[in-house]
Amino acid sequence: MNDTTPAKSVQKLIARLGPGFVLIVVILVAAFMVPRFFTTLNLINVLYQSSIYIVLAVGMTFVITGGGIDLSIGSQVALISVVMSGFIHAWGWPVGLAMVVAIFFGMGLGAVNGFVITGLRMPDFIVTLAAMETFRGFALVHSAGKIWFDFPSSFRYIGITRWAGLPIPTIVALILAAIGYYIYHKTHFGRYTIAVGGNRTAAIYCGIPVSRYKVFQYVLMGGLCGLAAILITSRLDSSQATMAQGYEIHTIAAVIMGGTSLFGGSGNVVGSVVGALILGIIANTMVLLGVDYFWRLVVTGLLIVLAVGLNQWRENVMREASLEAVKETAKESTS
Amino acid sequence: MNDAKKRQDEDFVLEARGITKNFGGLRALDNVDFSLRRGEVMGLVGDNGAGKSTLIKILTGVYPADAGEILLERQPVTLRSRQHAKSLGIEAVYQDLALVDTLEASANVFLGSEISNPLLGMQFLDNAKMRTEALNLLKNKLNIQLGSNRKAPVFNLSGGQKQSVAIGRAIYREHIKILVMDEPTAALGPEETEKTLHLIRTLRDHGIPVIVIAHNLEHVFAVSERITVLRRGRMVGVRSTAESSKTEILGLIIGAEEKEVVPSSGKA
Ligand SMILES: Nc1ncnc2c1ncn2[C@@H]1O[C@H](COP(=O)(O)OP(=O)(O)OP(=O)(O)O)[C@@H](O)[C@H]1O
Ligand SMILES: [Mg+2]
Repeated sequence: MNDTTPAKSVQKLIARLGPGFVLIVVILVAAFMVPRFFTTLNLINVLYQSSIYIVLAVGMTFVITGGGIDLSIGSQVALISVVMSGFIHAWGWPVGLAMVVAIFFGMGLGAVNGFVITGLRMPDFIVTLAAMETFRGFALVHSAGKIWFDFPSSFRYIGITRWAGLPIPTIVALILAAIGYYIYHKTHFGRYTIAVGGNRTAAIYCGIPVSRYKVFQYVLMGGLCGLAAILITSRLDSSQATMAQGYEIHTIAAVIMGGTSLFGGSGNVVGSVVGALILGIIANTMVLLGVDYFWRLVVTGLLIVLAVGLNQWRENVMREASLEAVKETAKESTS
Repeated sequence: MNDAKKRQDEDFVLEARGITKNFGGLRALDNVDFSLRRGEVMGLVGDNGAGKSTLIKILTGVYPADAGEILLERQPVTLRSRQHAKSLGIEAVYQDLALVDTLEASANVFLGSEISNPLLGMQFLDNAKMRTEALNLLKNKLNIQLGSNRKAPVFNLSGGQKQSVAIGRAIYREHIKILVMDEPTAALGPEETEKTLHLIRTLRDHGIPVIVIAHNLEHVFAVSERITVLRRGRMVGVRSTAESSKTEILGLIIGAEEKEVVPSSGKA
């Protein structure tokens, strides 16, 4: 171990901190550039704006860990939102019922993705890309250019109320992340998601019904799209078929930044939350700086590439470190 | 005394008679007989494509045979699936090990049959208990310690450690009757090979009969009691390891009496 230079130790430290390190850097940069960043009001605002992405990123962590990807989530959110708005406005359904149905509807959309992927043995990427287009199309057909707004106050309550100083969407997102963490590490579903994404053959050999678990992952993702649709619709007090565009890109970026492997088999729910916060802070800072919307897209895109690149570099450093560790233990065991 | 010896000789855990398997027009196995006694290591050798893997896949329930019968502890059985063979105590470690690289050793040992506790009507994995049991199993039965790699994903483990995790998964069930290993030493360095061979002997000493496929006759001679030789889908001989020699086995493998199979490109 005498060949370890200080530079290498710093590398390893950064690698170990991972997304946490990026979060700290982003916070410092934001605080430096915008004095207003560190006000309680603004921090809560960042959490508030990140909460939708946290909800979606938790689900996407399972999907990507399982070796899949869901490009249709933005369209799912839009479709669920307009359909739910129709229930509330046009059909006069009670808000609670509309919300429950919205979540089940999302699970149904996810099940469609899952069954097409497993039933027709088609790549996740292609199926969800097609679903992205199809679901958006259905949303446009359903709403026929209409914008729903002026929701009942009981529905808007969710988006605008604070409990213990925190907006309800933020509370929901954080509780959900904690539940997601437990499911990931402590349940058969989490374990088999890792196994299916990590080594499908091994999973089959061990008697795991791999197709069923793939469907479950997309059903979970769909249900969370339903939840996200409720939160965003209530927060904006409006709903239209063109909403939630680009959600898939942001969510996938947050998850990959957080340390989940795009190749499947390993993931990090907490990291995904951190990834969502990083993107939230970047967006917030640019708004506060008055950066033009088009430029914000450009900058966000570049930063995503940077952060994902950093994550790949991190994985390489960690792998190198673990290879060294193997050699060390091999030496130990021979001596 | 002689009688007892004879009875022991006939104490077959597994017997296969007249196994035939066709893949399309190709006869991979032709009327093959095979047997495994209690407490022995059986080496299964043969050239590439001789049918070794096909035979053990039939014996472990991966494929059905086209003809022939299989007796497990003298009872005829039809192995309906890999799962079914497992439930009868036939365990296997295939060549690619089939580990999930990103999971730790204990999670791999228990993959598909995790230990869990009920809480609020749901089942929660007991990772701590699985870890303790898996490490105990590796330590007590296989004499392998993972050291600082206990909680690390298995891609961090050495080839021999991975091998022991794969074996651990095959043997942790109490009712294991037979272990089949397809080329367990193929991907290992000399030291790890030595460990794996030792491990096979350890298993035999724990009363688990083992079928080992290997290309390296050195390894086969080091661990086996008997050797079955396949050539082009036929069983061409069973020898007691102690009474045979590498030359004899090699002769059976390449078919020494069939001179035309010996390459003579040097003269042509
Ligand atoms: N699933 C299959 N479909 C078609 N042919 C097969 C299949 N599996 C094996 N074979 C053929 O059957 C024959 C025996 O193959 P097998 O894999 O059993 O040989 P082996 O003795 O294990 O060889 P090796 O030492 O190369 O592993 C070969 O000719 C092979 O090409
Ligand atoms: Mg083979």
